[in-house]
Amino acid sequence: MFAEFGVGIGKTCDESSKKSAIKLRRQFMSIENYCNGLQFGDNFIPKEILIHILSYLSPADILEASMVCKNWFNMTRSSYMWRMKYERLEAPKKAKNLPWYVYFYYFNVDTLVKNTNGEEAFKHWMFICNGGDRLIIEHSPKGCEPMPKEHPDFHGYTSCFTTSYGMALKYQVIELSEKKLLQHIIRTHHPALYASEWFVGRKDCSSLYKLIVICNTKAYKCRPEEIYKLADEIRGRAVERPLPLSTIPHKKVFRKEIDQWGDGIWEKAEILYEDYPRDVENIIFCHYGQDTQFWAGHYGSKFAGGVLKISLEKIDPWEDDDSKEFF
Amino acid sequence: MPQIKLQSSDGEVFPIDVDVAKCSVTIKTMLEDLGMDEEEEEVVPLPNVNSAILRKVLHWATFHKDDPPPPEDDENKEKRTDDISSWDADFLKVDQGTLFELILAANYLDIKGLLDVTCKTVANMIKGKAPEEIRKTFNIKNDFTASEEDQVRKENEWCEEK
Repeated sequence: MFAEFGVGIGKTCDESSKKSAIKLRRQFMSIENYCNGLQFGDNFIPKEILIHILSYLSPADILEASMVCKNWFNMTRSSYMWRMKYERLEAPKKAKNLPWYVYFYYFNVDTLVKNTNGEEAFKHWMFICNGGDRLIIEHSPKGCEPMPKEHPDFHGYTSCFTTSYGMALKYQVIELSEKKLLQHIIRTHHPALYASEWFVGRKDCSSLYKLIVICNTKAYKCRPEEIYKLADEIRGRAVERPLPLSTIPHKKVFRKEIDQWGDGIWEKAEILYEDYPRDVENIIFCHYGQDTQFWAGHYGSKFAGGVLKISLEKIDPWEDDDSKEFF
Repeated sequence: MPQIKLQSSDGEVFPIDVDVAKCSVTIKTMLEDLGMDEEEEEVVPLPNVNSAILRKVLHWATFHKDDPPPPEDDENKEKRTDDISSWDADFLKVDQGTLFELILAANYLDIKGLLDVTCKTVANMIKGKAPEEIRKTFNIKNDFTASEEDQVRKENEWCEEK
């Protein structure tokens, strides 16, 4: 059904569905009211200007606009409109020719991780390890510089997760079987995965922070103890006493040792994961922190504003050039 | 300050500073290509813009002539539709017909700043509205059949899942 609109969602776009898409598009364009949705009083507004107007709307408003009439539907489903939106946001990056829904997903889903500032306590998070004085949620982080709270990653919250002298290791699982559009985009276009999180250490105590992204497939689903091992083996002490390497095949790790008497400025950990398996079934967003001077209380690393989303930087462009429809 | 004369579609002549007129890439290119001398009493005809709209456009261009060029690499990249300056918002408190005529004039004259702000103003009229409200606002007919409408709705619902 979806493919008949020329979007090819829900199944791979084979030859016959491409043809039916073109047929339906023509039907859409040859109806009696060619000007409907383009005529405003005495003024006929060309499609490229209306596309410019529509490109300022939010993804949700664009979906509403797609239901206004056939001309508006075609404009909101054009790769051209979404590329215009992308180039405005990501300037000076050049937008690639991708199906509209890839851009739609990119704009619609800021992050797949929930409760990233502890605004709902520990909801959605699963602990592998919560030692020492336990992980707490700090409402105005102490011992460091203020959070850059205007940054959109924080969604207006000012709280963070703060670790103690014991290992704090928690994660969220993003099941692709529950996210059909994301699953389709990954299977057919394989965009890089982008993960990031803001972190800081107290000025008066050294600490550790790690951000880990794991992709599980049908062939390999990691167990919590393996994640523990992964977190543990990259700790500083592993240098002296190397542990066997983790057996998790599909992972990316960001690791930072924070020194005592540092500047206490919040930094952003970033992971761009390109070579993950196309048949990924779920994605694990995992972070770890603790202080390395073993002081009672909460002197360990702090983190907030986690992001997991698709990146369109390394994606292969679409060969099917529907963008020529309007020009 | 050197001046040139612009003539609207209905024959009215507007003397205007060259600097202001050059906000329009169309006029700027025309002057360069024709090598028009500022001393000469030439008139630039603008057959696509009437006097009422040209007056508005020149009012806008005069106010914005000293605007700095838009920053190339802006850290706070996300451009929103609510970033319209209060002067522009007041300037664009006009009826729908005038707004769309301004859009067409900005497009024809190639004045990026004016085109952006007028397009954002129309986007703000669409924002937050259901399809039926949008149709009412702009007098658009629902030309979907019931089953087509259903297909579009289903496809949209499928995409909305986060």
